[in-house]
Amino acid sequence: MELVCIVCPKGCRMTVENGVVKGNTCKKGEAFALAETTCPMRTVCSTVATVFDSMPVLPVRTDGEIPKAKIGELMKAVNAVTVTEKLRRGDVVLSSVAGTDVNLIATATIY
Amino acid sequence: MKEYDVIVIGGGPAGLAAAESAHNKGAHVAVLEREARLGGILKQCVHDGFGLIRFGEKLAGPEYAERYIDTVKSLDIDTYTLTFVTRMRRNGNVFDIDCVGRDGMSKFRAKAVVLATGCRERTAKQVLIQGTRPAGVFTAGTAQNYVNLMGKLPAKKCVILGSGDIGLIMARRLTLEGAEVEGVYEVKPEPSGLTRNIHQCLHDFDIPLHLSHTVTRVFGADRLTAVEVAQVDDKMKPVKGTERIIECDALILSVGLIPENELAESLGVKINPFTKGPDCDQTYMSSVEGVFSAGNALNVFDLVDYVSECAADAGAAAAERKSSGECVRIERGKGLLSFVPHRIDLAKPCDRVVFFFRSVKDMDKGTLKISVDGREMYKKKFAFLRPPEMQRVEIDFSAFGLKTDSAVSVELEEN
Amino acid sequence: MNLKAVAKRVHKILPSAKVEEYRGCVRLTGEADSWDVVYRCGVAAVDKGSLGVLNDIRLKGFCEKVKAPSLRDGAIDGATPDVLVIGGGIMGCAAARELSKLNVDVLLVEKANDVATGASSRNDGCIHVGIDLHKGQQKLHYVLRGNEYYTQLAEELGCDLKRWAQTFMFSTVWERRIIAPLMLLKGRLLGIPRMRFVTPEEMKKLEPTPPSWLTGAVYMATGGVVSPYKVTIALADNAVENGARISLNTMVEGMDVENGVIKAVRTNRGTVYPKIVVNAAGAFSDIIADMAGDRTFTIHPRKGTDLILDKKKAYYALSSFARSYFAPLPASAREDNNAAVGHTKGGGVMRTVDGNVLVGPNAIEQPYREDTTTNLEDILAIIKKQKVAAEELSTADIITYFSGVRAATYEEDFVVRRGIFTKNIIEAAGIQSPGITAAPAIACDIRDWVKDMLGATDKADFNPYRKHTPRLADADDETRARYIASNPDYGEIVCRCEEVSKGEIIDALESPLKVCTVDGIKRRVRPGMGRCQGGFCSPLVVKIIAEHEGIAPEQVLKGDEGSYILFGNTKNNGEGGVK
Repeated sequence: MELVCIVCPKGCRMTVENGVVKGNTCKKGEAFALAETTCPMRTVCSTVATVFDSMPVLPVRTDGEIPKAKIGELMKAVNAVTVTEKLRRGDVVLSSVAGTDVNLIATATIY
Repeated sequence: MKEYDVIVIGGGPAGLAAAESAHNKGAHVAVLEREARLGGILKQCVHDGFGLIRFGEKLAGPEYAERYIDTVKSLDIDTYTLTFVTRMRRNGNVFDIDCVGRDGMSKFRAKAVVLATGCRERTAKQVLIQGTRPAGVFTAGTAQNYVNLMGKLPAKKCVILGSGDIGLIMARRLTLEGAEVEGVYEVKPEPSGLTRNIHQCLHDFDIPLHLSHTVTRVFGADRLTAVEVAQVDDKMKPVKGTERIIECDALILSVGLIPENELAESLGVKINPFTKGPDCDQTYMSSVEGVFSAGNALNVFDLVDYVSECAADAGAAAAERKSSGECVRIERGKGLLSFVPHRIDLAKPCDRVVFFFRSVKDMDKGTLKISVDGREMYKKKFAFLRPPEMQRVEIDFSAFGLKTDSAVSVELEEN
Repeated sequence: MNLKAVAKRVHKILPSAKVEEYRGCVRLTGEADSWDVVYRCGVAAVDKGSLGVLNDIRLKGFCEKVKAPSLRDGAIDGATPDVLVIGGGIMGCAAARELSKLNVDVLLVEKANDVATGASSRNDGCIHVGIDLHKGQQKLHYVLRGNEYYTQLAEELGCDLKRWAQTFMFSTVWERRIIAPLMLLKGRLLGIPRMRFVTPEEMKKLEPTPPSWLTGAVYMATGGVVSPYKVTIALADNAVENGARISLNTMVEGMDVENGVIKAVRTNRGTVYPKIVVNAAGAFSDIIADMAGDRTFTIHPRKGTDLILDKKKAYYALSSFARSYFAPLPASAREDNNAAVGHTKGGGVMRTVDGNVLVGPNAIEQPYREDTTTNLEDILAIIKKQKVAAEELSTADIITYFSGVRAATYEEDFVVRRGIFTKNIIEAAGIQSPGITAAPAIACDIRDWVKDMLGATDKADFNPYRKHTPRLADADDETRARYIASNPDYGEIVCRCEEVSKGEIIDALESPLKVCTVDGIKRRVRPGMGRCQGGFCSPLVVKIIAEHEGIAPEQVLKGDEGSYILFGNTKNNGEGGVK
């Protein structure tokens, strides 16, 4: 399997054959390539609605990776949230999303 | 009249980094920002991938910006938001800056200025798209503002023209928000954005990428109802007979960024034809003594980490105001699309010059070569060179024995 | 009328055409395969002895779907205005304003969601001197008067008028020796003041980058430029300030005419019973005249495209100039430049009142009255043609372009008159180039005719001065500071390219003629007119409009109904998530 690394902007071209990764230039790349062949993982970024006029939507992201297949499930949960408190950057918006131990955190501070 | 050692114009990632480092060099610094909030375009870049180099973490845009904002606010740096520079002029050794803001007209004076004014997006008309003038034609950045700052959907089914990074990011973003992206069309035979974005934004969501295609017309008297796409030949001209009408309600354009240098030009700053930003030395000083340039106003970067790095260097140099001397120009040889800096000031340190460059085309392997008076003084190999992906390398120019009449040229040889 | 000669000319083009006399007009009927044939038949049918050409030759299979507001309410139903003005272009708005000087009840109807959406906003804003016109033409009569009137009008309305002059440039010695003196003589005969010959050396002082081939030029000092849509809007605003009513999204659908008198005018917003109707319907003015039973002319739509260049390129043109069309192209420009751009004066290069450079227009005959789409061939041809006069011109300088449709008649003249077959109509039809210059002067005649027809008196408290905020970016610091002190919104810059403040946008939203669309605001105070074309400011403008009007951003329109910009919230709409 041929793939392009998305861990960093370098975008290394890699191949995976029988669990052996070639073309990577770092350990993270190797781990990414192996995961990609079994269970691709992604960090998801989006926004959630708030009740504040100054910031009608608050940017959020998962604080870790979730299985790519669960992005749809995650987005349903993300779209259902309305933030009513003045959250700060890093605050947890949703914990343990989409049946994982990953949290959805605010990536900005509501002003 | 408010007086400062360094005034930074623009409170985005470049301006904030420049202000911080100028302050750390002991300068009394102010940041002038025309928007209501600091952070620049990062405020609306909710995707991650920022800060890997600077912080060793994958941050979302607002997180990256807020870290810098927190730092700047914790230091003795004055920030002025909703402050718009209307005029700038050189007054002997200082710069006079006129501003307008909600509290009236204000005047600033600075010993040095850092122009961190960012860039703007090329528009539909600038890529000569024809037809009607309906609602529903957006640049990717404008669409991003609507989605990520206002929480409003500008499209239900759209076509994206241009595979620049913002276009790719918006393809994913709109898909996640429930809109349909019919496809991304790119006039060039290769993608314009980072490879990783092609993968994680398009492939992950099965969004087709059509290379060597462009949008030629838009339809719809009020709201956009369709676009016409066509294949292009090797001169990027639409091929007759290949036109196809796609019904959609929006056209989103990611067809290039143009550094904003109208203020710089008003000061007589010379603009480099390849970067479209100020012609600069290794401290990012422009052709006008005391005027520095940083971030996307200098050169459109693809990584904010590099923006911060170059801006920090520019800010430090603006604080130090080392007197300049004779410069040696770096001539652009074959294989290079653009690079900074454009000249080496021999009176300033040049043992660790950060050299940013882009290749003119895709190269699996390439060698960067610098020659002085025809003699090769430096070479370094690179892999996977692509025009959209800027390369960074530190070069010790002091080892080359540069003299005022040295002929320095740099080229990129494909191996 | 020499109908035989007309028929001979027409039959050469379309043998099957029926040529007849109808109420003093030449009427053509039949069917043709191409618009070019229809158009040429119309031109061939022009006869000095007739009232005009009624070209009813149909283009086979042609049908234009004309934009019509879907709104149906009774907003103006039963109204009995003294004067109903049809059309909110510069002609209609100028007429409404002049009429508001009288003690009469004026109602203006416009089918679009704003005034100045047709040809009045789609032209170069040139205040013409009239050198290309001829004695006996209504165009000449009104251009001379209009040109003079503009100084006062601009002052009263608070609109910029720059007398940056017009220049006609020669590329050969024989043009300089023969054409230049003839032009100066013609100018004297027509009554055009302040024309003179300038040498290339003098030209250099007037234009920084004159073309290399220049042998001399005729300089016409009274030439000027305005923002055509701002003038139109200002006329409308001042008319409203003085009691006129303007009903937008209102389209005339029919008329009841009895014994040569219009009794009622039916619109989508109700039936109106005016004493007098003013036909200022532009590209549709022959249709309106026909409804009223007073048609003596035919509009053949002529599209023109103009390009707007970045203000950075302002040095290309300090005035308005064009190359003389008598001599062949200068050798330096001849190569590969035979593209026909059109048959009118051929356009030129000029500086707009806002400091951009405008290039164009061309002229393309088309059957469509409303097709304002642009085409790449036109853009490239215009650049190629005007590059002769402005040698540095390049497509890279273009920030935008637009097309407009001129309401040309086959006689190539205005139709300004009282009704011939209908007693209570005033025709102000076929108003195209130089309509911006002429319309205010035509409006004066309309006012006098109405005064005469109704025995109306002058309004004692007419206020000619439009209340307006000066453009703060151009104001001195003191004025600007005073405005900001009175309202901090004047210090908040929304459009960075054109330096437009939030306060100015809110003022525009509170204009006498209330229009709260993004395009309406853009035409009034220019956010989005600059080099980023609204990339940065359009979300802010949408927000300001929404907040000011108390509506959701997705209810804000770009222009006419249906031109919504947003589709509602990304969140909580039940549609989120990956498909």
